[in-house]
Amino acid sequence: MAGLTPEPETPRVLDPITGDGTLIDDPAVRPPLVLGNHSFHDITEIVCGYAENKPGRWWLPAFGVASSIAGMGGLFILYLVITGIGTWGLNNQVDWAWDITNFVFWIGIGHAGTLISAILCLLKQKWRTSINRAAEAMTIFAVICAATFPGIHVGRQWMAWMLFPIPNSNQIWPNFRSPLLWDVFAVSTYGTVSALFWYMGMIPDFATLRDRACLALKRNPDGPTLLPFIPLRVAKLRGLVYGFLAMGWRFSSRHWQTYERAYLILAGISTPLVLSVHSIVSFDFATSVIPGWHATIFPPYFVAGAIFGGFAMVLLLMIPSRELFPNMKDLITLRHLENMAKITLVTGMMVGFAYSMEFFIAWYGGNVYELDAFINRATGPYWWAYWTMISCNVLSPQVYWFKRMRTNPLVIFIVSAFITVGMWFERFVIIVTSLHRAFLPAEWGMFFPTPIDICIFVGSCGVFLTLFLLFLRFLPVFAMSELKAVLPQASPHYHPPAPPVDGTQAAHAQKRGHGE
Amino acid sequence: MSHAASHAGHGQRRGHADDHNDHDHVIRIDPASVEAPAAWGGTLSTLLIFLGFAGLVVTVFGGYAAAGEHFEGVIHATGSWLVGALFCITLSLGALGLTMIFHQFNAGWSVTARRQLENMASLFPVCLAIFAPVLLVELFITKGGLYHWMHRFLVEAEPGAHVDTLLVKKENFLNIPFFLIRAAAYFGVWIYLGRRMFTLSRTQDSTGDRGLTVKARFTSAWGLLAFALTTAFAGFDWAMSTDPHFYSTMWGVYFFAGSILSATAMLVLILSLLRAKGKLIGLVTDEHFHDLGKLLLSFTVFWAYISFSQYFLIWYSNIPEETSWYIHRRQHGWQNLGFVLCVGHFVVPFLFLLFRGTKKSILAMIVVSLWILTMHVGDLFYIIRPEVYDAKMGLDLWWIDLGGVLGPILLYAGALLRKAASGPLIPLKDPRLAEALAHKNYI
Repeated sequence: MAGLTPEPETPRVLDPITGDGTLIDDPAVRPPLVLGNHSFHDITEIVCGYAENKPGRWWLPAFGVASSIAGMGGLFILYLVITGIGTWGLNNQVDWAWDITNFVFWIGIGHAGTLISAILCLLKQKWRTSINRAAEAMTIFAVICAATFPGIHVGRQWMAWMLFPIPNSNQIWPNFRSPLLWDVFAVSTYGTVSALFWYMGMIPDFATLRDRACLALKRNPDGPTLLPFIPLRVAKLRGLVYGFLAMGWRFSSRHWQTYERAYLILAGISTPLVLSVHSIVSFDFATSVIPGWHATIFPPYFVAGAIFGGFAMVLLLMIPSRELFPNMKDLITLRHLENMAKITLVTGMMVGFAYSMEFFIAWYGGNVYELDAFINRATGPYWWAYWTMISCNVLSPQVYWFKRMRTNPLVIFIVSAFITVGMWFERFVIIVTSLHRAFLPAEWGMFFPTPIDICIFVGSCGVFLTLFLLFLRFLPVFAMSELKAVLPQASPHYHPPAPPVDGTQAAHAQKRGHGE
Repeated sequence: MSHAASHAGHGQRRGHADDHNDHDHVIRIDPASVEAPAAWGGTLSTLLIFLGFAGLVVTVFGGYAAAGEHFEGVIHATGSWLVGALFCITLSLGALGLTMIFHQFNAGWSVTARRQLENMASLFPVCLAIFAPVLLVELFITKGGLYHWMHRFLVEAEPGAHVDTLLVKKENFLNIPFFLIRAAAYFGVWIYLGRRMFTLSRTQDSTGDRGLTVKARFTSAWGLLAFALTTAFAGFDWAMSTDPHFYSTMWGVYFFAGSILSATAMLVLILSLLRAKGKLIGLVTDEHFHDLGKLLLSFTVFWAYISFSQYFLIWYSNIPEETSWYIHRRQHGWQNLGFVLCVGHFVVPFLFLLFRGTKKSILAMIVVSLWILTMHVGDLFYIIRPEVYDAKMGLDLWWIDLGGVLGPILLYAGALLRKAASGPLIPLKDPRLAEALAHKNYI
């Protein structure tokens, strides 16, 4: 019956160096991935509890604020559609600015989700089980935010269908040689596969939620109704909705086998996909001949930057969630935060490497325009944007060299906020500073965002947060089966600890109890 | 079960903090299983080193026999030798990078394979000895035959003389003293890191001190940073600057992609040969080969991704400064080599390695790793050789190329076999050895 019943409570002893034991550095020991001696049933209770019980009092105000911002963004988009994209700050010199910046920013955010769910799955990094579901959800929401911007940038939005290669009555096709069209393919494929991956992973958890709702209805047929005077029981509604989403999942071995196989195939498909999407986004710039845009390192540089920014966003979302939801700290331990901080440091340095390679080759290549574009970035009218980018993206993650810093949630939260700002500025710097100077001085200009620019971007942040809050409230935030598989009890060599009799026996039992 | 290794503990430690009192596994390993075949340290390596020297003789002789008015033959021979030398350097570089990456990832499964990488990474002194003749010949005999920017007359303005403006601009970077200082710095960093990784691991064989693993992890953290910069700039210096007008920000990554792929292929080749000789049974299992095959597959794709992106962006933008490099390689027969690389360096190993069966078959892995190593030689040949004087892929002096390319590789292979034979084939007391032995893919 290992794992089915909770183990006898052992007092948690905090080690002065390793904290709750997750930060242990001894190479012979693998730190625990789930804390708190939870049984399999506890995990079900905790995870389903997030979707079944009322959230803390913070949720409704947070949702209200986020959805109001989202609604405001929607209204501004409506205004934009009615009035035209002249309401943006674009001008003859800088004819591409916040719209594409926001697009690249949001698409990049999504990459961490796919990295965690696909690449870390293939690399057998078991710690990913606690964060993959939330990160995948974040991916979908980020892709939704990203897709908005090219859609509204079309100008005549009722012609947005022309983004797709559908010939109209005049036999006009999109230009297949344009990377902007490849973006349409790349992003829609990416969005589809990510959504499938996310949804498929949730099917067993939906089934659990369905079964629990049905059980609750059976136990208490007179449970609360959805609204007063409407005889629709909440449990019944939950059973119907989750039951529909669970697609007839019955937890049979055959289901699980098919599930595992499909999961692996999707992980295999998503891995090249995550590299291709941002590579193609980078082609939007790198295929051109504009100084500052045409650099061969762009594809891997954009991918590294996307993962960098995406992990910062995962941390920004998970650190508060971990504080606000009961027991979440047992599932997302300090080790998880530390690992993500390390990935942030590595990808941040990759981005820094790319910045320096660009600068070096701009000088080494001997092309005066290229070099001038880079010097202008650092010292021209947009110097503040450039140095914001450098200090947020390259300098701020350097604190992670110290273990004390990368295991402190507050520090990680602050650095992640810096990185998110920095990664937005990176795209702004690449796009706007290269456009505001052209080969002819008559084509020089500046870009100033209008309130419409700003409000639509803020609105997209609202959409993102609203969707994420809904996800936290109604969907299974963790993959329960995967979490259970990394509990100590799941090991075939696990022996439950015997009840303590006297000192020596207890020590012996405990030694046996932990997988030895 | 004929496993040479058995261990009293259970491999997969899913841990609890109090586990760390509990590390004294008794892992019994058959000593014969972790000893290299006798011939490796003796006759075989001697033969390889002898053949390598024969290659050197062929190259030197060929260079002088074919030497023309402007040392064309010598330049040809030096170019071929450079291809071989870069092959050795990239192998050691890839191995060093992979060792440090494994330490940074706290990897457990790869412990039994890691020693072969450490051996390769410790061979930088040999690489230096192989590479030094190229520099000496360039400095004292051909004086800029391969690295054209070494010609003083291209940068020193004499009245009425032709001056290469681009090279004048690059003179602060591309000049002989700085070039030599940089080369010394790269080798200094690599020799230090390679030796440190090797020594820490070998010391642990006798002491079993887990602190050494922590030290290796610490060194790898800053080591990878130093590794990234030195690798990229070595790529610029030794390969990209053979065409001093060409530039590509991707070049460092391209050089790295070839390095890590070829080092993985070499690792797989050595492990397969050892397995075929009846060594490492139960230590490096089919499960390890499955995962190593996956690494080989992903590095193959990574190389293709990087080299395609570089080619594609230069082709699409069509800027003359950049396209000249590829245009040169799309003429005079070099396009055939380019085509071979597209198919042979990517399509063939990609399709071959997609299947699980091939990744778990020793014979298939020997074939595919040899194939990838050959393609890596082709890749380096494609980079360096078209810059040599005649710029044609003529077959008339093929024997100079053969001797020049194979000579360094055989010398390196001989040294590598000796290194492998000089100690145990796996890190005997690595704290994660039990985990590596219990490694399973479960699919």
